Amino acid sequence: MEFLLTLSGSLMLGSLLVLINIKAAYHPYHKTTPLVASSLLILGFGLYLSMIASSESDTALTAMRQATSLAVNALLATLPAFFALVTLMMLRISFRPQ
Amino acid sequence: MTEWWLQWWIGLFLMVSGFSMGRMGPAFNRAKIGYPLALFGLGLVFFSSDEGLIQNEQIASETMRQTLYWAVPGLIGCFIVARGSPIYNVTRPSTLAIGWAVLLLSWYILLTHYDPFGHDLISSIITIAGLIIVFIVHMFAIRLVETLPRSDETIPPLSETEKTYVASVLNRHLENKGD
Repeated sequence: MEFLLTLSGSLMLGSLLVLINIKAAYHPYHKTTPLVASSLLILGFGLYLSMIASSESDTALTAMRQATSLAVNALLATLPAFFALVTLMMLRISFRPQ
Repeated sequence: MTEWWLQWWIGLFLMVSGFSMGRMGPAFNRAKIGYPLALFGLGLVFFSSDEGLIQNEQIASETMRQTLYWAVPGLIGCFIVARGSPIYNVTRPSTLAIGWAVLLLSWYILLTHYDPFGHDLISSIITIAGLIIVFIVHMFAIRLVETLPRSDETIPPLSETEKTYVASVLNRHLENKGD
């Protein structure tokens, strides 16, 4: 169930990121309808999965909060690995041959 | 139950919105407020109360606070190292040394105050897999948009403010080339 909750959280988190980006970066010549529709579809699917995975007493909103915050936490846990990669890149650009 | 959890989520959304606005480029008015908005969102998240947060949100909130302690000096260090690294035979050893000092400080904080191996690796892999699924669907949606017939309406010319801005950017870059 933890697996399903994390997967549903990451699907919802990803689609929310896309939706926020579409709204924040909107311009009049941007055809957003297919992107919004696909994101809403994934968001709905993620919400459905999170409601299956969470306890029966949870409302849809609580299930969404549980799952999405779990995904946020898991994403934050990957940051040290990314930081290690960035540090290696910094090493490379600091000592590259002239 | 209090509604303080909304502050945490609004802060997260403002961070993402601010970053999107700051990176968007041609929208002159929104791009200016992008990064201040992201910083405001970060402040809302950092100073949010744990009251009203459910268990997973509390863990994520605490992890985010701990992450900021090493990520902020890490970002600053990377920026200084990038500025000091050799480009076209021009080296800035003092800038490079300061950058590496800040970067090492960030690693020291990370390794002493944060447990990078204490998290569940499987959760992280599942989350990245979920985000990749969203990314693939998003790419398919973009391909679909690209195949749609183009609109025949004429794009209006740049406004006076936009013309002035573009001219100032071109002038700035051409002057730098002249140096």
